[in-house]
Amino acid sequence: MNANAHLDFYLEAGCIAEFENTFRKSMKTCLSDHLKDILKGRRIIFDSIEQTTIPIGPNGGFDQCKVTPKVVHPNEKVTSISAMDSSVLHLARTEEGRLYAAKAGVVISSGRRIRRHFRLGPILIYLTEEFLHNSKIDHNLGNLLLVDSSIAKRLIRIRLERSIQLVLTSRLSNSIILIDGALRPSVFEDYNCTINRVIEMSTLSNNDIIGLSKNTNMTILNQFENLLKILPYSACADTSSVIKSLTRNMLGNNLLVKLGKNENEYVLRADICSANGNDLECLGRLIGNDILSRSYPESLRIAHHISTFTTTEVSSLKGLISKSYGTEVVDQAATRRNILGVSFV
Amino acid sequence: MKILQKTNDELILLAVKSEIVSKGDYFLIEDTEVERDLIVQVYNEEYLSNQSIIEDIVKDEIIRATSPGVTYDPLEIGLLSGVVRDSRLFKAKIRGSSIGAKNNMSSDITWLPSRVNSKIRRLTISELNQILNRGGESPISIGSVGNSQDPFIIYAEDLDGRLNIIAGKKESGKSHLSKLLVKSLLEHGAFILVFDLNNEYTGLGIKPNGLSSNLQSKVVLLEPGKNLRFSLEYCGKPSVSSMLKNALDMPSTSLREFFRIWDNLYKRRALTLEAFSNAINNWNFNDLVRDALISRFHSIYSSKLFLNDEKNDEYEGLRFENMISNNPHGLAMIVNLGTFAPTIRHMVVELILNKLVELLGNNAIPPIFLFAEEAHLYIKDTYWDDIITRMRHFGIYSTFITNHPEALGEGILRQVDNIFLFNFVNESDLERISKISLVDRDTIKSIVRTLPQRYSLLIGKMVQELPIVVKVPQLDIKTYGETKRFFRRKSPTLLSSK
Repeated sequence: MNANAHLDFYLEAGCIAEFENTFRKSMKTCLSDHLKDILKGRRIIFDSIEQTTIPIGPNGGFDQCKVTPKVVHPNEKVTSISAMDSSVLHLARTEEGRLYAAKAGVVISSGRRIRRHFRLGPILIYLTEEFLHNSKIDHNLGNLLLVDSSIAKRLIRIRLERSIQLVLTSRLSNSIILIDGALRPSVFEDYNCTINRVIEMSTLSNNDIIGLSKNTNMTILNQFENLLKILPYSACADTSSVIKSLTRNMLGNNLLVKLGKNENEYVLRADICSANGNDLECLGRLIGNDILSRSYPESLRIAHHISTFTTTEVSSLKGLISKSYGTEVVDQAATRRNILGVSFV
Repeated sequence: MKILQKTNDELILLAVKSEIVSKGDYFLIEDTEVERDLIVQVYNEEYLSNQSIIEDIVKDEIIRATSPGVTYDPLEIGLLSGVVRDSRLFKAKIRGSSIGAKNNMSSDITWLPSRVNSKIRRLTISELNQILNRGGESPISIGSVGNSQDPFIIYAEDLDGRLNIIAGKKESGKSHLSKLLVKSLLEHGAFILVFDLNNEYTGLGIKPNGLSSNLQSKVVLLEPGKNLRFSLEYCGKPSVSSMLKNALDMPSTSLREFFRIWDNLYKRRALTLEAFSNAINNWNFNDLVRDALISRFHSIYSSKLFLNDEKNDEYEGLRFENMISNNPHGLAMIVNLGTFAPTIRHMVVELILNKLVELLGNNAIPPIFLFAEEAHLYIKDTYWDDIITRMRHFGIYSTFITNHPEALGEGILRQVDNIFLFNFVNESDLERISKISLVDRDTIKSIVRTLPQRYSLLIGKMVQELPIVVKVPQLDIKTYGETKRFFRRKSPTLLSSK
């Protein structure tokens, strides 16, 4: 069976419907099909309140740590690489809750070619107290979700990604699933759809999972980058001992990887859960089946681009909510303008 | 559709893809609050483009190009964002304003309609006619307006006493329109003279199936040397001397000798070609003058434009006044110039025009509509102004048909009353045409460049200075003058495929 036929067989039939069901279960009442009725006549404010926090990581005490780089040889055995990414946007708020839009992209590559891509969304998610009541999230955390949109966005993103990951791991076999970010359980996961369940399912289906992080807050890892950069081939270094000593709940083996021969390739953090426990072989198959640029897989890059919101999509979503859902738009900018005057807005 | 911007006399209108607008369409912007309307004409269209839309399109295309994709879009936002990306901007010129669509148009455009509350709707041709207060007794159905089926009518009165130009590139439909005008004028009883270069007007009186139409008796084909022959006496000294001077470049000294011979023969009532030949050979001249006269005489003789001896000939020669008086309900005189040498063409045109001016000056004939195809091929540059200024006052109303607007001098362009513009893509042609002061150059350049075959932009007095795009209809006459081809299959062109 060639690569495309394989994909057709496993992914086409009912794949989207299965993902939708999984995500629906995960988000429960938030993904309402009756949003039109729920939002009708609601006073709504379109804004995008962004709150970001910067975690501070410990930064010392590992000077003596010994890390040995290992060469990664490309393995051209045909393997499907499924890369996925998602993004969530805070669209608006009402008196009862907040309205978010989510998008995800899945890109399948093999034999150093992009084979297929999936666009999921935009999907509207309305987070209200009712949702928190039905979910098993801690009460305090739940309250924070209603106040802090960045936390809510994280919850949606994690639940969306886990749903997709679960579908991919159950449908594919002998493949690699690429995830943007670290492999780490989250308090925002739905208990039916956790990263542990994804890993369990992937092990059963003989799939490998790689979580690739572009940046890490653990600045201690920077000192190992040069070890890899100077090598004239793809290489990795096991930093599990360092990472696991800093954070408790990391899954899989935590490596630093350079996926390319040149000195200017980026060194990325890779959390790997391979079905057969052979991380080097897993990385080799990734190099042999995906297109790499600056050490970053092309499939993951395209998945990122698919998942990001475009300006026209945001405008269209706002237009849909205000026109089709019969909401009453409150113009906050107009209030500011009226109070402060045009030139001070 | 909404107003987005205004710059000088130009509005930019925002519309979605489903709002079908063609260049040249008229819109009425109704501002109900001030109860005034603005009449605008769309002359160009563009996409709504900003950096983010371009980035979105590029990103989307790159993703699409990498691999086949499956989309799950429950809200169908893709469709909506497609509408945003497909939005377009229409550039429209403000042509005037009116108080209500049923009232007359005024040139007061010093007010600005509301961007929020104004309603924009297409103006139908009947509304436009009402606003312009157009009318006349002799309608000419010139086709339908733009892409709609609304018929558009000009009036023969608008061509009467005017200078008209039909211009467009090859195979754009100029001759087709010209024939339509000739046919319509003929139906209204006008007298028309056509200088036909390609022998294509002879079918005016014949239906496409080959049967005669009711106009056949009104169409006369004049062929130099056959039924287009004059007696020297009928032509008169001014016409013949003008022909010698302008068509045969006779120097003034030789012309003076020619006058002497003419006067002498006229007194002796012996004004024949034979007598002229004898006089040139026997009179006492300078040899150079004699040579000049002999060479011109041979040109005249070989042209067969003149009868040799009117008195002894059964045929008395062509007399325009007789032809016209025998056809009081209109006549189209088609002068076939196609098969003749350039010198003979020049001679024929000079002779006919001068004779007609003389007859018009004596009120012997009614005013005549002149249709001249590619006139630069048989009239000298210096002679243009004379035709336009002098002859118009006598009653020759010219319509020039050309695919070479650069051949039309500044003098013509400045005096032109009506222009029928067909497709032009050449920048220098467009530049030349856009110098015509009847309408702004943006409109001309943008609309004319994209006109399909047989679509014409009408400018001038016939449309009361409001440019209108019309589709010229098929003619129910026999088509002649098609280019002879070696190969049967004709290659399709972009222009003809539209």
